[in-house]
Amino acid sequence: MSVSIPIGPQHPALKEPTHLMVTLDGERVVDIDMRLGYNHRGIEKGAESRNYIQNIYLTERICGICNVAHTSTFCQGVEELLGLEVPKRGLFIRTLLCELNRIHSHLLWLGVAGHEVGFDTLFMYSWRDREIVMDLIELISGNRVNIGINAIGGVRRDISDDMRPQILQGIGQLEDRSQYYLEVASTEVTFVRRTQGVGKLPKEKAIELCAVGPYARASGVEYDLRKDDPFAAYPYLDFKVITSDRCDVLGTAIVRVLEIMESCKMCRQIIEGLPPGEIKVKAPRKVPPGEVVSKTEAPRGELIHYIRSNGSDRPERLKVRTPTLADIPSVLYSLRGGYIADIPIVFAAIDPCMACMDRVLLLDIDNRKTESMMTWEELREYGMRWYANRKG
Amino acid sequence: MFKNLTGWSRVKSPWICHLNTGGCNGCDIEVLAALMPRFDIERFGILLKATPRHADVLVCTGAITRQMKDRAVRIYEQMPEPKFVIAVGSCACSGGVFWGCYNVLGGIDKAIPVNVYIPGCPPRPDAIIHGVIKLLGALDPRYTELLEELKRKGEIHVSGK
Amino acid sequence: MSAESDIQDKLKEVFGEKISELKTIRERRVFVRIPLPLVKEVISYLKQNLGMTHITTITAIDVGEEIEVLYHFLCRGVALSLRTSVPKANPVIDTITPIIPGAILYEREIQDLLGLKVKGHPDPRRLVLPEGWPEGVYPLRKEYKVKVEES
Repeated sequence: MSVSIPIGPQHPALKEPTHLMVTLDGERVVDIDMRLGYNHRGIEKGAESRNYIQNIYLTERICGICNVAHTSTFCQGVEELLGLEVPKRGLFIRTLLCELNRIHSHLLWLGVAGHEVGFDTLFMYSWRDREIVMDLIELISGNRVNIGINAIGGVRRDISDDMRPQILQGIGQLEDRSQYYLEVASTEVTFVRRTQGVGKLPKEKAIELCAVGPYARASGVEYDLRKDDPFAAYPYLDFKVITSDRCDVLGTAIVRVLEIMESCKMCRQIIEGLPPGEIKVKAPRKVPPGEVVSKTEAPRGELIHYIRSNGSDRPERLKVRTPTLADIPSVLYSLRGGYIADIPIVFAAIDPCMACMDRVLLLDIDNRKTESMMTWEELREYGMRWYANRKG
Repeated sequence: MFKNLTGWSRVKSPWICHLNTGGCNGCDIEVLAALMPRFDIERFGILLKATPRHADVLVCTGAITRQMKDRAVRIYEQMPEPKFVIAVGSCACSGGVFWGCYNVLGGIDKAIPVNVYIPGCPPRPDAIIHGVIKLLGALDPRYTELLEELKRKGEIHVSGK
Repeated sequence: MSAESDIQDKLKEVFGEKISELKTIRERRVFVRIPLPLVKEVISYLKQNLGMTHITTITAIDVGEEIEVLYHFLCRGVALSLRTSVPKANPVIDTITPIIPGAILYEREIQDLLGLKVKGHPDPRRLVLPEGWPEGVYPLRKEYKVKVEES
């Protein structure tokens, strides 16, 4: 007998508060459907009536968590349309902030993943350690979130010599802490039990459904734009692309922690090898007609901004596809056939832009007859109780 | 730390409920950072609850999108009296950078009445704590004392008044 | 031989005069225009012969009388953008999900925001616009003007 349970709205991703409709057979998910759009704001249309400089601020706020990735992708695209060459120092600083953004995003994810499986200690620790990164970001850019570091032609703020020791010290602390998180992710029973073998996504399916980012890399898909389509200062840096053959949620955790370590290495290389010179070149306000496909590796994966210009100071068209949208078909695939108790953590594995933290969830009763409704919090607690009862 | 620590536990702990009506999540992560060990708003007895039915204060982030408007109203209606709403961030105050986008109606006050506006993009956790405690000071003067103490100790940095 | 020139050469060899505006604007960026009826054939060819499986997104642009559709693929490490056009008066395209299942949400998005009709799509529901959004109103078309409501 199948039962349909609506869940949500809550908020993952870029398109935030979502609504899941789950069809169950006993404890197993037979089918799952997702409704997006609660967070649809109309940014692409809004971009057409703002000039390129205003659009830096608009695109930055597509997602507050990956804000640096969005402005980097946008500015890089406009720079290509203008034929500008950003000075090397500017590229290095832009890359440094991209990597710091990645570290903060992955630590944020780690905390949220811990929360989803009832491991709140991990949540507290990782968010406390995340403050190290927030302080570094604030030191360099003046703000913690939505930092406005990128400009068309380079970056707006420079790194002074007296910032360097503080940055290196912060990176050192993060490297130590990530060792700890690696142990937790691979050995801590509370965490491993809820993530091992859960949310399986085989490699062929990840490729077929065009998954991206750490989520795809945890299924063995070796696709990381920093290596495959290098941008900013990545051609000058030495780093590894992290993949895992686990194809489950635990794989995504391990990939993200190892990526934090690689990012720390990259930040160190950037600070130690920061070239002298200008940080920005002057950019004209009007952009000659053209089109550009600008891609970067945001913390969640492949991010694309397609920009078409028409000779004025406003874009003709801006198209943005964020990485979470690319992962949704894959996560829905991996939820089918799993247990309802696993829904929160499997969903969190794609690192939807804001995970299940604030959940005020109100459900519309569907016109169809439904047996019950659940909020995300209730679902999470259900999952924790279910696993507790399964012990032994 | 606070002389009347035992006194605090007798004051009803305000429970807050967080709702994102269509924002970029920048404010959400700063609201959460306010709860985390570094800023730790929980030591004042302010707890985050997932359901509006037990909440005293609704903390709203994000501009209000068309799709979220009815839901925001419904959540507000579920809260018991007395209830208060705090709009966190420029988008919740007025629509912020998204004002004029076709699916954004404006700030939270297009849907529900707002008691406190905390501007910023996003406001720092210090500013959020300041706003929350200022609101609570309207309910209980001890919170106003708490706010002065935090400012004196440099735990919250507030420029101007 | 670079991936870009390999892709260009193979496309010219197989499709010859039928494709146009084939250009490599910089490394890892190739654009080509394909007539609407050939879209599925070209994508199948690229999948079969060049191992192309990953679609990044689908962009649709209102260019006046027509809607231009760009399929952004990843092919041998190159960002390959396939361009085609449909008349705005009859904006019908075929789904490519049987060949590239990962395109499923991107096709729904262009239906929603620009009013393209994707024939054969397995799940043609709205993707991002709210319930109650009027039928036939496509916000990303040029004629849609945002009305700012003054309070």
